[in-house]
Amino acid sequence: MTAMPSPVLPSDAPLTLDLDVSGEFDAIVAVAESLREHPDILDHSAFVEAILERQNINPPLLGSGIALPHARTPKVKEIVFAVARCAQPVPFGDEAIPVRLIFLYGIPPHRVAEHLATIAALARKLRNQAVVDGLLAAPDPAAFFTLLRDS
Amino acid sequence: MSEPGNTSAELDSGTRRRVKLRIWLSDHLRINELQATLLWAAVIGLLGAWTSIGFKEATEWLHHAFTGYSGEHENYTESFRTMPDWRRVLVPGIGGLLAGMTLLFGNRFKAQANSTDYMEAVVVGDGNLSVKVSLVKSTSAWFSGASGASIGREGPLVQLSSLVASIAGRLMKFPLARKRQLVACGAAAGIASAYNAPIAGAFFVAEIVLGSVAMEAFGPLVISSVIATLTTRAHYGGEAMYAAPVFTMHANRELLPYLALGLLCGFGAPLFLSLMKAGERIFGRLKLPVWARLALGGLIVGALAVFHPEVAGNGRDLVFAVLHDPGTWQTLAIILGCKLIATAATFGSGAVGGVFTPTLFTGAACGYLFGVAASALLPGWHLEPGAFGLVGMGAFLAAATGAPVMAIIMLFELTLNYQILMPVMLAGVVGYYVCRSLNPRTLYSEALKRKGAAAVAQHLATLKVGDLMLSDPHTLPPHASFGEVARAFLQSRHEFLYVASGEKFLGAVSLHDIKGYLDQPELGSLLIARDVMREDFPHLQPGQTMNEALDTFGESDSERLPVTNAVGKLIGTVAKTDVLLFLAGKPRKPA
Repeated sequence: MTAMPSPVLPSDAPLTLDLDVSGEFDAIVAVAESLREHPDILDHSAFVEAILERQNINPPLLGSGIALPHARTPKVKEIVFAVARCAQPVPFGDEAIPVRLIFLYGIPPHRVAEHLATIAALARKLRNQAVVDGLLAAPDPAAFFTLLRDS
Repeated sequence: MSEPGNTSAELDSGTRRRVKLRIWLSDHLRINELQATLLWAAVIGLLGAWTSIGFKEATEWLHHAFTGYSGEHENYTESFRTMPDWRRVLVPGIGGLLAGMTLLFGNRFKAQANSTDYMEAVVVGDGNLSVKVSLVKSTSAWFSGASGASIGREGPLVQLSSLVASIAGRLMKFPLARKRQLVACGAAAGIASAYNAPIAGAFFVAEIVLGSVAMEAFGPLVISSVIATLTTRAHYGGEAMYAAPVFTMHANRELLPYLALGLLCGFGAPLFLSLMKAGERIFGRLKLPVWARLALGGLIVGALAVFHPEVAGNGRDLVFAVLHDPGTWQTLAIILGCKLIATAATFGSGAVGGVFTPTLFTGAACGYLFGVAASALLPGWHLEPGAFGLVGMGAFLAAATGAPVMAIIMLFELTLNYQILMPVMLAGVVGYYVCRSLNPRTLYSEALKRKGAAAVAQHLATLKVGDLMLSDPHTLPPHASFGEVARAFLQSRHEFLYVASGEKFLGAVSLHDIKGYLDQPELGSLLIARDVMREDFPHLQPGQTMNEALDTFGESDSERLPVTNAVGKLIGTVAKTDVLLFLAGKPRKPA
């Protein structure tokens, strides 16, 4: 394994617990909205466009109800992350796969190695059903991030 | 390149294991285009050797048919000695007639039939040899050689094995540089199997044909030479072609007469070349049709053979005789004179073949005669005239061909006599310099000039990236899943796979970027090619020069680079190996 060590995701990433939306589009727009003032995003609406465009090709889904909408775009200067937990499962993609956890991120185009390391580390953690169950049950953002970091 | 029927985006464990093996191999073996070229060089060596064996067998058969000689091996001196006078005249005459008719019916030669053909394949050109031209010339050389014309056989041997290589290169649709390299390998295989001389075969082509011993170009030549020699030896056995008695040097002062012999060969080689040209001029003045000219050339050789049957054939028996049983020096001098006239008549008449073996004999005979004279002048030095024969052979060859390295090695390989190597090196280099200062042209530069080598060199000097390009590269669509990307690497030898949408080049996925993540099947549903490709991947334009291409390769760790046109359309790829082969094998610019 040569994956570079990755912090997985910064603990100051905006987190919305109990997001109340009914569709994929609304969910993504809502999660992205939490990044509106982020200093590393150069053009917020273009950033959202990029994520939706990527979503159209093939929504990045991990089993167990987890979505990782993302975009490789020059509209961000650094990797930016936002997380949300939906109050009820939201159908994603053509097959209407129910999603409870959304990890949304944007990454600058030249950071290929970092991109792979980040997404691989996150996927490794979320492979563990106990971690996913813990995240779904976490009472507050601090507990959520602690579980993600320490698992 | 993505497999359309395969909807499962995830990687199964079997595929993962195979991709890991693939990565291990690429990390540890570094297989690239160059190694593939080596493999092809081996194939060409094998094919070239069999072509040569076939030609030799065919010549022997025809020789028997012409002369009725029933001895074990082709021996023109013996076969001509057993024939009555009228037949000695007639056989080379008829052979010349048939050779001329062959050229006549291969009508493309009407115009150039006048030109002496030392070696067609010396000009590798763009690696495309004409099948028709090569076959017509080889058939003509077959008639000439088998009927006792005073001509070497390496011409058709090299021609045919180069032709085989050229056909292989065309069938495989290799880019220009690799086709040239293959044809050069074919030539090396031809020389190596003609003379049982693998090292000289490789050096001959490197020195005379490519003018470079850069490893990119030299390595494949070595491989095909070795394979060709092994194949020939399996068929004919492995003795040296001119196994000679062992000579020993008794004192360092013996190098002095060898040095003098080197000087003599340096002066003699231009005379030999002038004699060949004089023969050409005289025949040119006769204004005869090509069949009559070749028949006349044959009749002259035949007429000489009535008195001295030794002049018939390429001169192999004569070289052997000089080394083992030279007879009196007076007889040898007369035979040398007759042989030179026969060779000039054969070449002058426009017969197709090589001048290599006649050159060897001229050198050996001159060396021997010089040795006789030297031992008469310096009786206390215990000089051996036979050793001078060997040294003369090497020095004369070095001077006449302008390839001293090849000549020194060739002499060693022909005789397998190590003791003689030092005097040959000395005399060969001296002979080379003397000859060069008197006459900048060599045996082969004449042929090169006539074949328009200058134009070829000029054309090659202006070649651009687009000329070395392989078209139709395999690409991945930007939406290919991570699993499809990994599987695509399994089917490709390359470290980078190109991503193109429609025909537009978008970037490249590096095997090394993704190799750490292949044990995570869940990534198959998260990532697509577009997510993990390098967008700033360097690419070339078809109009760039080779040096510009090399600079771009220097900045990249890729063995090949994509070529895009002005609007960013991916039109092909160029391999670093091809650029290096091209630069290593580029003919020198005409002076």
